[in-house]
Amino acid sequence: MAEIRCPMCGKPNPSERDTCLYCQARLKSLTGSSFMSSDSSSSSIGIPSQPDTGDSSLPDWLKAIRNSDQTPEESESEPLPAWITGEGGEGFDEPDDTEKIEVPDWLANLRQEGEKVHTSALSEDKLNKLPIDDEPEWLKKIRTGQHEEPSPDFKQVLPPEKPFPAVSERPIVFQAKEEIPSSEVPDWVAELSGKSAVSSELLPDEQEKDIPMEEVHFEPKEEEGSLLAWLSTLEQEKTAQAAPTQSEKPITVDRGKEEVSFSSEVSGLFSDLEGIDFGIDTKESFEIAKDEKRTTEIPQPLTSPFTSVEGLDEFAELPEWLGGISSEETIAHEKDISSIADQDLAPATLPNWLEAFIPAEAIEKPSTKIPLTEAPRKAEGAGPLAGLFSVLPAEPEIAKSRKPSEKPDVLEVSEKHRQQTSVFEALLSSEGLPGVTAERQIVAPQNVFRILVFLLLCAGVLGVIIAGYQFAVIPTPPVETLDAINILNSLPAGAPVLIAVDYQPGYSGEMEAAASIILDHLMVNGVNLAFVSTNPTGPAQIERLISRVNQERGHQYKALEQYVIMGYIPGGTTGLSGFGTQPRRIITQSADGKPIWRTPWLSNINNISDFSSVIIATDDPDNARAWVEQVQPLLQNKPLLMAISAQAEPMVRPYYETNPRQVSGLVVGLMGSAAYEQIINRPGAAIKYWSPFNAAIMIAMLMIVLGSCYMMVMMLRTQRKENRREG
Amino acid sequence: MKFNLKSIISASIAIAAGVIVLIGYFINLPYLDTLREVFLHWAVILSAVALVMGIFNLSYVHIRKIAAQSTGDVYSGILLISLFLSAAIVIIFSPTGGFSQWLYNYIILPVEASLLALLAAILIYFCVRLFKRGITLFSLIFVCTALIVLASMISLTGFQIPGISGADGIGALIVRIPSVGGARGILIGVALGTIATGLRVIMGADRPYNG
Repeated sequence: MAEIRCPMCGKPNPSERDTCLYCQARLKSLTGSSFMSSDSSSSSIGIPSQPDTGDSSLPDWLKAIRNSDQTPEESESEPLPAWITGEGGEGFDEPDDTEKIEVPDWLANLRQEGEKVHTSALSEDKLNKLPIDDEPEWLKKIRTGQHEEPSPDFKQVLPPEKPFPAVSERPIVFQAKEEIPSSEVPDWVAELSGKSAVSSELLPDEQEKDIPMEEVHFEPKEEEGSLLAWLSTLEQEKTAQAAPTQSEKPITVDRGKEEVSFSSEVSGLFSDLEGIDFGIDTKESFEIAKDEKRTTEIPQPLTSPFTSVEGLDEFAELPEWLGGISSEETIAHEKDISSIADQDLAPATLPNWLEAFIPAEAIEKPSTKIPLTEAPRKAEGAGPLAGLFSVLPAEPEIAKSRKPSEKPDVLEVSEKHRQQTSVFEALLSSEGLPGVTAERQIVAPQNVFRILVFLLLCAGVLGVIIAGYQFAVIPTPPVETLDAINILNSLPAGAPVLIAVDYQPGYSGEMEAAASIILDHLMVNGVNLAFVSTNPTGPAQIERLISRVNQERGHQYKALEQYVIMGYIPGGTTGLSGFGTQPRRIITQSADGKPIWRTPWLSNINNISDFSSVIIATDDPDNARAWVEQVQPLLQNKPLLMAISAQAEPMVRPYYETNPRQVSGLVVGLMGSAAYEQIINRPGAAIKYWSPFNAAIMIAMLMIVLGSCYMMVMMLRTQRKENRREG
Repeated sequence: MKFNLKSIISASIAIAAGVIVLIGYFINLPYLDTLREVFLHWAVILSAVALVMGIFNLSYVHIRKIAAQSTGDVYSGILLISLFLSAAIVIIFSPTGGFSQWLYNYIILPVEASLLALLAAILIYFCVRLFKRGITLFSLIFVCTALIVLASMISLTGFQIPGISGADGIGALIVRIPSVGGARGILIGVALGTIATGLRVIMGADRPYNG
């Protein structure tokens, strides 16, 4: 069973199917010819290389060729007509009308031409009159070669078992339009005419016999094989292109000027045949007009009289010259084809004279749309388009990466370029180097303003201090200060009072003024003092404070007798909590390493509440809050006083303003200290600092006011300028 | 689930100590008070030890910096010299001794006081330049408030600016009302934050001891 390979998926399918079993693609073209069969050896689409007897879409002439290519057994099984096998006697029987096949137009025209106007025949006298030098090569060869070696008889050449004679073995008959006298006939023509009996016997039609023309029978020669070979090659090529049909293109034979001249196509035929040694042993018959001035149009292709036999059903559409060629003979003469092709003909080049014989319809057959002269196309090897031809590549050629061209290593530079390069390099190297510019000592306005602020403040404070002018009035003491004074006034002599010095050394100017007046007040009252600090520098500050008060206020307080420096309480809030609960366990000795709890006035102190009062001097609100939170609850209604910096007032004042008060009295900043001194009438550092302090505040206020106004004016001017520019 | 014995032990100790000290404030039990006092005593000692450890760590870092000859090693040398010299003086002559007092009176106190004096001048300068970047509502409020408070503090030759100076002036009101109100809000926030932090430590959610 023949198989057809699907052009899309490449899988075999039965030849009866029109579509693929696997991909449903069309297996057969719309023109009726199968694209590709499984047993096809051709790679061209639409060119069946092997006969497919089962394909009904093939023309009959091609079927006949394929039938002839079948095995001898198969060929023998089919009886051949008698005229082919030579057993038919002198003629053919008139075929039945029912068996007649439709005669093609070109054949019908040819018949009509034969009936009406006989084509020109080559007269013997004209041929004799041809000059020897002007004779074509084929005529020369005929004169020389064929006469010397006469070909055997056609019937003898044909093997008896050969069922179907090839067209090449058939006699070629030249039909002269006029009878040529025997005296004018050349010798070689005479010889040929003597051997043309077979040809005359093979004429199937009686009318053909009546035509007064001379039949020239060219017997096959030894070169027959080579001729058959190239003809078979041409058959294979032309079979793929088209079946021969009738051509409207005439071939003219011009006998003017005593020479045989053909039309361009025919002349091309002879030019192509010059190098081929086939003699006159062609498969066509020519009708050459004897009239030298007459030009006869011969319908193409020139057919043998055999083709006019209406009994040849099988070759009704097949030209005679091609229909008789069997594949066996074609295969047998392939070697000869190659030898001929090597000599003069290109393998794929069709001779012009043969192309002229090919009917135009066959050339224009739809199945031969793809020209054979086209460059060989590449079949897709993989993917769903496997087997298809002319598939566009997935990656265009232009997208393929190319190796960049290598640049020469050595650059040819002229002297001028070298100089320019050196200049350019010098410019580049000097670009990174800092330029030498004259240093300008410009003091920024902001630095001037800073220095001005500092100088004005120093001038104001120092001027007041140096002058000793107390222009500032001591303010009225606030209530919290009065409360603190009242509490301290209420302390009895010898009462133990705990004082915490928890301010930073930087705030000593403000805090010492407040602490000094408190100490002075306490010392005046004869209170015993115990000092602690949560600041590592506290002991030094305490010692400095006591020494200062003793010196400035005229007191003679002695350590351990009247005051004790307990030292530093570590741990922050936890230390304060521990000190509040167990003062003896947290503080075991004085700052200078002496036992403090053995002193008489401290011997009764076991808890923090045993102190008559606790006074906290701090600048840090956090320290003040820690004392209030951790110690004040343990005091058991003992007063907690604070001398704080002015910056800590907002944070400490809430403890004073609560009810009950967590802080019993406050001495706030320099103003509170000055008021305190003013009230107890013991002027000290606070009153001394008060006037310079007021002077500094006034200067600060003036600078802020003037500076702010200046800045505002400048800013407004700048904005106006910008608005004018934008407007 | 993976348990870390070290973290469990440390968290247990921290939680137990916190709970015992907290309960000691609310429940008056003799043994709880004693235990709380012991814990507080340990805390004070550990704080002192931590201060000493901090001094050693500071010395170690700067010694390595000098050994590596990195940038600023000269300042590290000055710091170490000052540290060991001050420690030696305080240890030998006590914190209230003559040399210690000299160090405080002539080195520590002037340096810190000078810094605060510069701070006053810088504050005035930036208060002046506040309008250079533009006049805004808050800049106006800031400058006006500063001027009012300063003005309320001064008394030139007994003359007080009416409505500004004095106990009933605007300056006193600013200090007592807005400042105190803001300060109380801060204190309340601090108290709440402290409570939350304490509870987190007691519940083990926050482990500042890296347990």
